[in-house]
Amino acid sequence: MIEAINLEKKFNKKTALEKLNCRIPDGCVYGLIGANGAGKSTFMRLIAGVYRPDGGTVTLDGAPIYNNPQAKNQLLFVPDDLYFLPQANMQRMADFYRAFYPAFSTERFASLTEAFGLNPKANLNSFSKGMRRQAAIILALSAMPRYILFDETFDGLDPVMRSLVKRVIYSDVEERGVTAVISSHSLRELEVTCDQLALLHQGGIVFESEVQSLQTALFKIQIAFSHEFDEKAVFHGIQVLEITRSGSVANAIVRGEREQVRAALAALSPVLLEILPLSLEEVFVYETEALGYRFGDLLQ
Amino acid sequence: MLIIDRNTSIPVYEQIIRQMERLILAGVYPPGAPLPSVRTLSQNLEINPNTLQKAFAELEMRGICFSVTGTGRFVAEDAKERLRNEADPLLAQLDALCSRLLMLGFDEEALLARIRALKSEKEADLHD
Repeated sequence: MIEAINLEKKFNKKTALEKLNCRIPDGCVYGLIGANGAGKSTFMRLIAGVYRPDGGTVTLDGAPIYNNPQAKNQLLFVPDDLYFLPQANMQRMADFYRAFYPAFSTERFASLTEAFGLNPKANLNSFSKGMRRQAAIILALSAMPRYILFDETFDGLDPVMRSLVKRVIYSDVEERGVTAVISSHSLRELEVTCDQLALLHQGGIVFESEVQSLQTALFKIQIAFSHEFDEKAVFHGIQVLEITRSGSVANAIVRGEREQVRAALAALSPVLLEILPLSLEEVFVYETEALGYRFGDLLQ
Repeated sequence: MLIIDRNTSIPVYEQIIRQMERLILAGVYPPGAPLPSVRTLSQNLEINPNTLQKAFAELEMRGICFSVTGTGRFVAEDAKERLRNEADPLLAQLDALCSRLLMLGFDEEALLARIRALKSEKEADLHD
């Protein structure tokens, strides 16, 4: 398990992370979402042991990660700005990774380079930007680490490659209990990939939750009556985040147990009662607004 | 097979549960039949295995399927009865709707015709 407690990182006077608390359980696909400058990459570099925390701790199975080779060879970080040895080809990089990751799978390396159509003998300098990204992903997946961190890695992949990479990650999660941490500024991308999501804003986690409970805890209700009604009275005893009314139809965003809410409202014999799920994006809007943030500030 | 719609706001987790229920009720997976493994579904449908695991855990908790360590998951003998018993609140809703429609002057035959139409639609769906 990766755990951050009151984690802090400053660059000169600027605070990049402030009292960040987070727990990433083993075997999950954990998504980090946030605007540019929210602290996603800084947090990932702290998990990877690239940076030393200025305050608080970040640990892997209880042991601090910075300067700890035992922790570091269990995890692999694919940064946004890729690094390869000078003049290296993929084969040379594979040998390099094998030295640090004893579980490195030569078979997987061979099958993935073939699936992606990359030549392992070609100089990486001759690769396009997208191909270099693919090469870094292949090397990372072949190293078979227990924890794998992708910093906006998927944002530059075409859909076919993305789907291939996801399948490999899912099979690792399922078979070997691998933990993947993925950052992105596309909520849509993370929504379908991850099972846990954390929203970062100004160096802290605004909230984190399981995707599934995020999406089922809130829902939208459309209700109408054949007679005059007071929407406040109708929703009495129900936790309402927002309520709007147009004519005889009231729309509300509600938190609670769906069937209980349905039964309570149905008892008032409305002429229209519809309960609709919210998209994850809508859930983010209401959840963050409930915490006093304006969603517009959080994601560009 | 399951079809996951990524463009609706219905959570994937719920889509899996609803569709498994539908397939069990339709007899695609009869009582005692093995259910597809998390691994197969995750690879074929490109769904996070943890999401699948949670959906199946919920079906298990409701006694609709059960798992045998090392072998897999199977449909419970009484899965259909259990699903039917869960329909009580739905029937209550139907009662309320029907009484309202009758009050509005729709006759029984019109309501029954609607149900028949829905049924043949569903059957056509299953044959797709």
